[in-house]
Amino acid sequence: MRIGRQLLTTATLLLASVLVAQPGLPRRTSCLQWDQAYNQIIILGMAGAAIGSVVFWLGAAFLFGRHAWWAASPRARVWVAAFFSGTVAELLVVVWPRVLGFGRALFSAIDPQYVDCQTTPFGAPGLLYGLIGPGVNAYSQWPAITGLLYGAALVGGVVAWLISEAIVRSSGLQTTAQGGEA
Amino acid sequence: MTKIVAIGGTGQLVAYHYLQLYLLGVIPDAFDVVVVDTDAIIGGIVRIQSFLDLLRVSEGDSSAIGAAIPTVSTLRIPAPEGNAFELLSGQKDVPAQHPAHAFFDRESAQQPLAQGLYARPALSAVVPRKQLSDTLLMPSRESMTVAVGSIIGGTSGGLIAPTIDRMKSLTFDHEIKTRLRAVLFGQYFEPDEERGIQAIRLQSNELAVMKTLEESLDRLDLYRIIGGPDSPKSKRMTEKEKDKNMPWPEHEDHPVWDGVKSLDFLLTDTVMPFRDRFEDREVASLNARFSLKDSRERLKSGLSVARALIKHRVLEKMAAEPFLGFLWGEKLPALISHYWRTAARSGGGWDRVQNFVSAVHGHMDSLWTGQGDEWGVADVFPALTNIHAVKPGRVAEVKWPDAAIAPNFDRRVFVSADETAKRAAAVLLFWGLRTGV
Repeated sequence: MRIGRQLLTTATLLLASVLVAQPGLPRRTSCLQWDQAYNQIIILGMAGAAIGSVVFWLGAAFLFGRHAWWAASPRARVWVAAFFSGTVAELLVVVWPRVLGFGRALFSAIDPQYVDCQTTPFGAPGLLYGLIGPGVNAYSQWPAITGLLYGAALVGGVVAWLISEAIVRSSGLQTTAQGGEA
Repeated sequence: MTKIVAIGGTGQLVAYHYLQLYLLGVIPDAFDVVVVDTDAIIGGIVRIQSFLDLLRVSEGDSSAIGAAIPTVSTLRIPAPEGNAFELLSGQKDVPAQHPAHAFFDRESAQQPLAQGLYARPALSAVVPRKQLSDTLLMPSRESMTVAVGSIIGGTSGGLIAPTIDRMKSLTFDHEIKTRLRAVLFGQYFEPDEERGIQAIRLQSNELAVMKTLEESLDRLDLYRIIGGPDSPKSKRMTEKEKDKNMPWPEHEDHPVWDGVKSLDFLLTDTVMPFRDRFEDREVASLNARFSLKDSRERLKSGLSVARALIKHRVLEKMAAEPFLGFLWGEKLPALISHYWRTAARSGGGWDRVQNFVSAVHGHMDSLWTGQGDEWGVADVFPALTNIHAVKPGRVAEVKWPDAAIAPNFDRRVFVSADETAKRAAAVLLFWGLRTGV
């Protein structure tokens, strides 16, 4: 009798869940898997933005330094490179999925249905391994992602600036002048 | 080095243009110029004179790093107070039988001399010439000496013949081999009849001075006459000639521009033979080394580089640049380094010249724009609104001088770190202007 009641309850719950769930909605486990993949891409994007700042800083000096005054200014070059790098990362990580959708190239590991996970509670870990917005899926947290990407680019810019200062101290104009006195 | 003796307002104007063209690199070689007038010396000439002084690397030496530079001497002969009658008689009321009446008509002799000679060359006879020393007039050795001035005006008409005559005497006294030449302006502008200067007077002056030159100056081996009774006249705006940013002539055949080209020809020509008859020594036509159009292009180019150096704070960018050689080349950083070292020595150590680059930039800015009533170097040139865009790479392409050939440190010139910064600023503007883009 008791077992029969339990079976009935389970069957009722299953039926209810089938009736409540809308057709085509992704499963929670899939959402979790895609969210984790997107989180990985965000972290890669941050690393790329930081490294990109240094690379663009170098590239700006050698590609544009003789052609544009902003690129001939070491400090302006650092911050322009950081902004450019952050913007590229933003376009790749935030804008691309919204314009071109998931499921291809960089986002081939994420199904286009991930967009629908915004309405499904699936225990999202949040950004940066739960440091930002735990429980909220990454896709919905685009303002925070934007901040993280530009922040990482800024850190890259600071690194580029430190490298620049180190080179100036070792072989810059004043060092050259002082060295010539020997 | 060739020498120019510019006399009077017209002489000043021609010398001023010639100095401008030197700064812009149109005139490649240095020269000495002596400017003499009873009127004020044009502010632009004074500015160029002090600017060139900043380029000198040692006292008593007329060279900058990498170039010989012109020496500019100016002499304003103060017009005496009173009029010719008062000066000659020493009395306010000249007795009717005083000998002064034999030399001057009443109208000329009663002109107040402090306000100019009013196209009356004879009045220059009462202008003291003691200050016009032999040192100033000493002709250049083994080279050309060219006098420039108008033969219709008061100051130049009266002074040009005695000045050339004095230079001629100096060639004998000091056994100097030189070729004395002259650019003489006849009537080239419409006379200002409101100031009591009639055309007939100018024609009479021209004839008188030419006759004087013919009779007294057998050593004048070439001359060129600009203007004359039948030539086209230009409108002379005497006041504008003294203003900042004086515009250049509009046309290639403008008398003043013709005078500038003639001056250059007479300074540089080495092939024209000496002719016996005075009238055969006149240069009727010449092939100029430059044109007004080309000079305007150089002006645009030079001003563009000078402005870019200041506007884009090139020196401050250089000081913070890790890839110095790639962006700015080798010579410019070496030049700044040279002056920085000099500043450290004159300023008493590196700790005291940490802001040297900013100081040079500041001086460059104030030298260019001027301070208060003082002319800036930019004021010397016509104002241009349309200039070339200068890319950073162009700065490295300027023909900066090689700092390795800089002479030894002269403490009499580089008296302090700030003075050194000012001189460095002048050197950068000089080469930026001369090379252009």
